[in-house]
Amino acid sequence: MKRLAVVACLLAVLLPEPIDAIECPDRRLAVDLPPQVRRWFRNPDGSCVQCSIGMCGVDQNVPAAATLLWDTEYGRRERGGSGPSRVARYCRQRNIRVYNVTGRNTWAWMKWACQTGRGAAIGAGRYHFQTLMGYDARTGTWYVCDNNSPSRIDEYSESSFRRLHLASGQWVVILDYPPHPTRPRYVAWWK
Amino acid sequence: MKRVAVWMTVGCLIAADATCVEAQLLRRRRVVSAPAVVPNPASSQQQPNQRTGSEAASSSLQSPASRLPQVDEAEVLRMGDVVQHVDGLKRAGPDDDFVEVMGPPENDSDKWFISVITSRNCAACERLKADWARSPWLLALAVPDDPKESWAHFNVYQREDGSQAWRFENIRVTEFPTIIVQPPRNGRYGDPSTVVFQGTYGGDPRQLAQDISRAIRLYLKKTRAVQGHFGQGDDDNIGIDPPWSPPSRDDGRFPLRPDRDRRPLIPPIPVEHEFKLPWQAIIKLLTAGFSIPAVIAVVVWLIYFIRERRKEQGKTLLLDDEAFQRLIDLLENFAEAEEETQRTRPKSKSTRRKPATTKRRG
Repeated sequence: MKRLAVVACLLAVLLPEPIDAIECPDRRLAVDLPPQVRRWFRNPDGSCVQCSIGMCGVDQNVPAAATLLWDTEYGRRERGGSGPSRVARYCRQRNIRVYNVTGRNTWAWMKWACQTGRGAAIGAGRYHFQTLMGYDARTGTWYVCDNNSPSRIDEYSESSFRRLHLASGQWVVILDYPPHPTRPRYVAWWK
Repeated sequence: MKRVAVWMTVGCLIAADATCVEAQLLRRRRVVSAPAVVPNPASSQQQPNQRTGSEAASSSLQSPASRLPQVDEAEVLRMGDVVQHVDGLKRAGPDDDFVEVMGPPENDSDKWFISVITSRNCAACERLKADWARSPWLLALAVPDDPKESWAHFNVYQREDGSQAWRFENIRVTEFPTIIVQPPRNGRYGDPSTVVFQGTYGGDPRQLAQDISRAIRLYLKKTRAVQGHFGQGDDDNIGIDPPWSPPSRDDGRFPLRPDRDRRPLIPPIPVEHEFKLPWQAIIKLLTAGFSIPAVIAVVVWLIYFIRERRKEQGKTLLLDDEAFQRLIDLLENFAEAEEETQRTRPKSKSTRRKPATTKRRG
């Protein structure tokens, strides 16, 4: 019995995520980012807004947005806390097209983003921003990646997601660029 | 009596401890429950691996990085119901602030995907980008600068961009630029991951646009019958530099590679349509006997034939495109020179004979 308990404990320690945890690529997710890429955007110093926008930048192939956290030819690094006006400023500077949405309408925007295959940087948790990875309208499940634990994709029910989003104030940032294509693969359809 | 005193002391100590713990708990609860703006009784129905908003809020509160305000919530409240569209045009002034209330744009999940995979120092890639910006044939398929007006979602990926390389792991990209066309995300025309067209660019925008249209038409024709089937780094990397090399803004220019047989890889076109047997050369060989230009024509055809076969079978090519083109040019030049020599030879013979005939006449 003790041995079994030890084995169970070992397994629990070794398994980094729950067995049924959702991972990219998945039909339910709008964003397609492997965990190793998401880990680049672990929140280093209270830059959660830029981390969340950066993930969307990689997903939608917008290097100017993807490199927000670092000094590159696209611009100086943007670190620290942000509000809508700061986001608008650095997006203008870097020529990044965004929808900077605040107020009651954010729900419709988040659903639009997920439906069209885009991610969104969203207010989630008190003084915190996270990346909206997808929304399954069938089950009413929202998928969110927290930049404090980027290896994992968290699932929220409608009610808990509502609470999560309202805790930060209703603000979302969506990149105004085409979504990524699904990872291509060969299917001999011409035969 | 002593016992009673001891018990009372112990009782007091336990009570004091309990009050202290309760006070701590209360304090913690207050902090945690503060962000829960909208109380919701349905929260208890969450799934096992689902997190509650307050849990996430508390986790973010407790992390050292979030002790400082990362999000300016006061500004969010001040702004109210606003959609600000930063369109990258750097407009200024009160009228150009583009701060207006509006709903989300139309659903564009019914658009096809056109992806161009480019490489650094690839002149053909630059040529394609330039052509796509002005050719009406290509603009009819996708408008790179105006996603809303574009018929298809258009993306340009750079092979060297480490943040995107994993996207194309399932396909073979050997030449640049490679153009890939995929069905829309909404699944109306089948699995959106299917490669409907894969080809390279030979410098002719009209040809490319027609190849893409032809492939889509063929795909729809073939799949119509089975439409029912379609219903359905390390953490330490964070520092000064990004953990991958972002694509360069400006690429160098190299001479355009000669393009002769740039046909789409998908859908494949049968070889017979492209390369006909060099009948003239064969007839010449049979009737006039051995001739170097005729032999070269047959050899060139054979080389093309073998190369196409290898391409079809997915085998690696013995020569890359540039080396192959140089070889063909060399053979053709040799054949031309030989033909020229043969043409000039009879003339020189007749000039030598001329004096002899004059002698006889004289």
